[in-house]
Amino acid sequence: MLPLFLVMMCGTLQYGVLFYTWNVALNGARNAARSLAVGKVNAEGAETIMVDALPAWVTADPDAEDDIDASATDNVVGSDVTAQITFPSSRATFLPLAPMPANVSATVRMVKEA
Amino acid sequence: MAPMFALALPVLTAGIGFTVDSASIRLAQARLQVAADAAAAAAARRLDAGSNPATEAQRVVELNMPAESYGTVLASSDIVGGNWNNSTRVFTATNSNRNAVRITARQAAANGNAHELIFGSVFGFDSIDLAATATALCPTHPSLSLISSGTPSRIAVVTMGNPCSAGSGHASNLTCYWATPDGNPIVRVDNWNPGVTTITVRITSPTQFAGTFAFTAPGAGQFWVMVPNVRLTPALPNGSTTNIVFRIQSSSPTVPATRINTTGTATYNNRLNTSASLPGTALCAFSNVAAVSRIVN
Repeated sequence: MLPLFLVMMCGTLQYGVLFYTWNVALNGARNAARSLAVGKVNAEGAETIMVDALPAWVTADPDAEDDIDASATDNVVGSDVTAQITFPSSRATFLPLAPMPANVSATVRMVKEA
Repeated sequence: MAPMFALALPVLTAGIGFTVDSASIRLAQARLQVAADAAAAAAARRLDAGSNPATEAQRVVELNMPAESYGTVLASSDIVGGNWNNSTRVFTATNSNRNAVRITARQAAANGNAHELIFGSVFGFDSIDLAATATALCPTHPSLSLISSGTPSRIAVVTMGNPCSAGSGHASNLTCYWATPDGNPIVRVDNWNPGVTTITVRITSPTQFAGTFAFTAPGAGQFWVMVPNVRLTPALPNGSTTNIVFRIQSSSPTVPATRINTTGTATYNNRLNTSASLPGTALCAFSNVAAVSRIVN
């Protein structure tokens, strides 16, 4: 009984943390894309916004920089800008449990306004 | 222990299902909101005459939530143009004098793309309807505003002064002319042509400002136009004034000769009533103007 109970609890935590992290990453990408669209930051600044928004458990360890792929593309007024962040889902969970998507990825595209 | 656990199992499963599905719903809701915000902001920049806000909203939603993966997120009935009242913060759907767009992005059974639940099906709920609404206000045109939308008889520049305001430094019985705080004159130009019209205005004197500038009117009406690249130094109280003279050079598209006055002039001087925002009614900026929309709701 206990193993079943533990599996259920761990599964809940596992997916809870995954969805929370995904939501935070999406919010970060949204803020980065909007900042880029209104001309508040350049592409590099948008990438920083996305990485800074991530929770500590994603960015904490020294290899994080290699694993997290934040990219932003700027454009001229009237054209599309993109903010995208991708990292392995193992960074957003605490147990190597299956089934999990390979990556957590959030992409937001907006129109450049200024 | 075992019987207790067996009894608690359905409750535990329900709890876990609720927790995981809530998290997934929250993520889906956030994704919808992002798509709605992006589409509303983009569509609000297409409220000028000659642009199509609905097409732009559909395009931007497709960029963020492709139909291939998410189905019909934005139905055409969920794109509503209207008027946003900034003081009451109320949006009214209308086709005239629009300054805002309201977008409702949906994952709903009605659109055939309801959000599928992970554990919900255990309890008989396969999917749930989600919706996110965003309202965006168009960017204000930085150099053009509306005095009146009535149709004038001709395309013309018109001398239009006002009593000098207290801040101008001049007596109120004198006539002052609108200018930006930087000293750019704001002149009245009338447009007869009902369509989008680019009007070129020539400054005939003084020689240091001689040259042309063009602006695009969204339709017929009387407009305040900020003159670019001209900086007037305000006249001193009781001091002498400098005149600046404007004349219509041309319009695109061209209009019948009887509908454009290319010989008459408008004369302004440097007794200035300054205003940080253009006088008259604000107009939406054209989509190629670098100006920011505002997501208001």
